[in-house]
Amino acid sequence: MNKKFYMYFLAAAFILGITLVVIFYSHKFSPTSVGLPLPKVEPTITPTPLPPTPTVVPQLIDLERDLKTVEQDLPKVKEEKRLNPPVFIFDLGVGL
Amino acid sequence: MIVLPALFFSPFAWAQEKTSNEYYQDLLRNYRSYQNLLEPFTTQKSRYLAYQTVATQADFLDSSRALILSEIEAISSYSLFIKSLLAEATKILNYKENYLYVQLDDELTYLKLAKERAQNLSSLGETNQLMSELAKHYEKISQIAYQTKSVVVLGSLNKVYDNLKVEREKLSFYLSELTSDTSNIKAAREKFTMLEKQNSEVDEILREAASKQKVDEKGNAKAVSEEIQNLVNEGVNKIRVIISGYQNIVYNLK
Repeated sequence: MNKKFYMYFLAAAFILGITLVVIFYSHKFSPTSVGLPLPKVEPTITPTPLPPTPTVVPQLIDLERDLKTVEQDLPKVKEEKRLNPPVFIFDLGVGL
Repeated sequence: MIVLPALFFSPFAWAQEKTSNEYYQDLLRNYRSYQNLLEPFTTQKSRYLAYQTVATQADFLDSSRALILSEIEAISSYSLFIKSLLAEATKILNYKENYLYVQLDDELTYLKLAKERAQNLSSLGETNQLMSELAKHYEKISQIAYQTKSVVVLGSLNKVYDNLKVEREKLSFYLSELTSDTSNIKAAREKFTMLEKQNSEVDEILREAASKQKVDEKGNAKAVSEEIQNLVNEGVNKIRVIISGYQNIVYNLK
């Protein structure tokens, strides 16, 4: 008897648990507003554009870049020391 | 039809001219070999001078032959290095003169013949004669090397300065197009005018160096090369000042 009651109790508790879980999640993921539907209100104030950043003239940007390139080329103008002639002897040095 | 792809994939089709760096490595290797032969040569010379025997004379002739062959090898590497560097520089610098190539080719032909002669040397007198002959040719090669030095360094400076002149024109045009007359713009225009003096000085330096280069063809190439190098260094410093000035103008106009 006791055992039968215990089994019914477990089944009821299981069903109750499942029900509670379903109710909990259905509330959690459903839209929260349940009031009367209102017409969607468009914002009346248009967003103000950001103040313009100071415009840099493209010619100046090009000039700055090209001057940098010329500056980087300048150290390449250097003496080619590898061309200095190596030393050789051209005399047997025995007074022939 | 079958021959063409075979030629295309053959090693000859892909054989490329060595770079100047590779020729320089050859020169270093051959010069090291030459230096390694100096000590045995000196030892054999001392033995020959001390004993004056047939045996010591034969040993000295052998070491002299080995030394002169190694010397010719190293000088040939040096000539090829000069030629390759000149070729690379002229490709970039649009240098039109080709008399240096012709001279170098003549010297390389001589060196090839000298090598054959050196292999067949049979007396110390003959060896000494070949060495003196080689000395004269090496003098010519050294002159070409100094001339090449001048060509390369002056050409590089001209190239950088030509690029700078393009920027100078652009900046000048930009300044002339500005309609407002703020203090900043006035100051920029004044600075630009001041830098024009530096430009004139660079023009003068380049003119002087170019005229020295023309004289160089007959004069002392080493001394002239040093003078040209000094002028180039002066030009580089002035160009650095001009670039910095232009950069300052651009920065303040932005």
